Amino acid sequence: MEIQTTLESQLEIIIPTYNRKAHLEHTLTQLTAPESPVKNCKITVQDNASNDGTDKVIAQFAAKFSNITHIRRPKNIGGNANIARAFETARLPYVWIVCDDDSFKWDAWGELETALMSGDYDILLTRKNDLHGTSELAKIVRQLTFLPAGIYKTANITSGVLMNIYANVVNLFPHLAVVCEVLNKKGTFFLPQGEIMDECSMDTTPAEKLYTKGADTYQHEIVQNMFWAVGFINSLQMIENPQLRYYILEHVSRKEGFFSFVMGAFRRNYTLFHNNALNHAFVRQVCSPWQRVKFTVACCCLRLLTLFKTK
Amino acid sequence: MNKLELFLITYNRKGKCSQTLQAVLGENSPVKDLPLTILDNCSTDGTSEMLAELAKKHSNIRLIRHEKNIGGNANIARAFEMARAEYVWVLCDDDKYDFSGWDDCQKLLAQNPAAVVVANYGHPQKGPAYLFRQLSFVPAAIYRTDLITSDTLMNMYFSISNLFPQLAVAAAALNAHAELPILDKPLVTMQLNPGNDSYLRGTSTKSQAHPLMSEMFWSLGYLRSIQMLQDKELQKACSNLAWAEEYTSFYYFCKIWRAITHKNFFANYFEAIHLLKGKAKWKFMFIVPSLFFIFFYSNERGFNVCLLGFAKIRLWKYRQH
Repeated sequence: MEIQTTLESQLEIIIPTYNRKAHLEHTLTQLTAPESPVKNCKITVQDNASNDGTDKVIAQFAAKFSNITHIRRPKNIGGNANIARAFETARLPYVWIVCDDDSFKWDAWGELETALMSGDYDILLTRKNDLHGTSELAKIVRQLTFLPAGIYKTANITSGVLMNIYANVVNLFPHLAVVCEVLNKKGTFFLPQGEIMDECSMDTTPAEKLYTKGADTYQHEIVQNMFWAVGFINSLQMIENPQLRYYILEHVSRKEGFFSFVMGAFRRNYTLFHNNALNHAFVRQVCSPWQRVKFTVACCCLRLLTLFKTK
Repeated sequence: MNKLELFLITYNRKGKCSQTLQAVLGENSPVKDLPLTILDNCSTDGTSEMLAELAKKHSNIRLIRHEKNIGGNANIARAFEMARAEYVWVLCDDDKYDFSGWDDCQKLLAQNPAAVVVANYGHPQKGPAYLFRQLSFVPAAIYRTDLITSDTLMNMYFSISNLFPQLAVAAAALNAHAELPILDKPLVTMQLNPGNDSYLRGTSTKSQAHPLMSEMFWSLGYLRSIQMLQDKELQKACSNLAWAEEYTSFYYFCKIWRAITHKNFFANYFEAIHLLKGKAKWKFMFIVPSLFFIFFYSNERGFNVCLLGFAKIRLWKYRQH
């Protein structure tokens, strides 16, 4: 007798959420709509002790649909720790961690489902349009900084990777631990022809604001001064092969070169960013010697620019 | 509901863990009836079976076995996250317990302090800097759970890579300017100095571990944790104390040596300069590079003569001719 694998036994969806009642309702409505292909999959909502009534919204959905589980934490453990916890609790072969503010379109789902059922891929990408970067691999890595852009194979989340995920909570991108593991073992990525997620999410708050969402007292200096470019570069430390790391850093920007990446990504934050020395030390240790030179020059340029701007 | 609850974190330490449990659950132990949650980090050496056996005998034990090893530090954070009673005491699996001072502890707990310090090998009575250092030992204090707010938990998760998540709670207590009573007779003492690698136990290969973890060592993790204190003066005192320790004792000298030979030397050096406050900063800034030169230009024979590093170069050049 042939055992038929179904999508329900292959994929689970986890939604970490905190205080986003309207957005979450929209996301859940889309996932459970009749035309949604994942409406029968196991959906777990991890509520990080929201206090705006989000729990009532989730409870309504959980009462209506038997496949929705509601986990409410008594205290807010932080968004990134909540993501890490999602990776820890995933049990089915594939896990898709969806943010609470995403929109979906299901036209291109077919190819993704075929790939999912084959079980050959380590990470399946769900988006195509806004792959930034100049090389294919760098594009993929950059794309995967966006959490729901990847459907991850849970077999890759071993104890060691889980520990890395928890250690990387401080670098804004816990999920890059899994990506780096797949890169280290030369795993396979599935690139879709179409895309199933809309180009932009509804909440446009910058990542570094979401990082400490819900916190109001004193935080680590490292945490206060973290922003996405530094977190991203620090996360790349987990790639074992330095050449691969330099290659990704070199091609991750829309234009060619590490210099333009620094100029682009650090620009917005440079004036906000108080303790340059600390983050600079971290970034330097990840870069190749030549990239270090570029980085120093770019930072000097940025400093000059901000100097003129304020005057 | 009990006022105090106990957590025990463990991973692959069958012998030591059962010793600890004998001390905690023994006939003469005053805490044997308190609720005890054991967080087993997916042990593979038979610890889990031993614990399951024990949990059958004692009804107050709640056994939780993670399906994967989440790392020792994440396990500590998890214990504090799960605490529900008014006070929580998180125990490690390799320490020595002596409950003769339990009555005093109970009297102190009745006064509802933010925390009761139950270890004193680090002289916590000498001042807040010493106290903070003592609290880097996980079972060193019984904390009131209302200290563990959402913010504290977040700091705790951010500190996982700094080796001391428990210091987030200690910092919360010190930031609130709470009075922390200290027991004269300690309930717990550290049995042996754990190595830097004790936090990495369970990873299959060292190279697989995040460099933030594998390249971290006590001194740097502690310096990073000091940042969680709000009071700048206290930060200064803590870093001066850390420096005094580093400078005087040979063991810490070796640790500086490790910092020098470290893969991430430059990052760590600049970070340490940034994190150290006050006098310690200037000392570190100048002494470490000079140490660097000493070690760089010396071998067993030339160690004494090359204090400045240059003499050695000259000697070497002379031999060449």
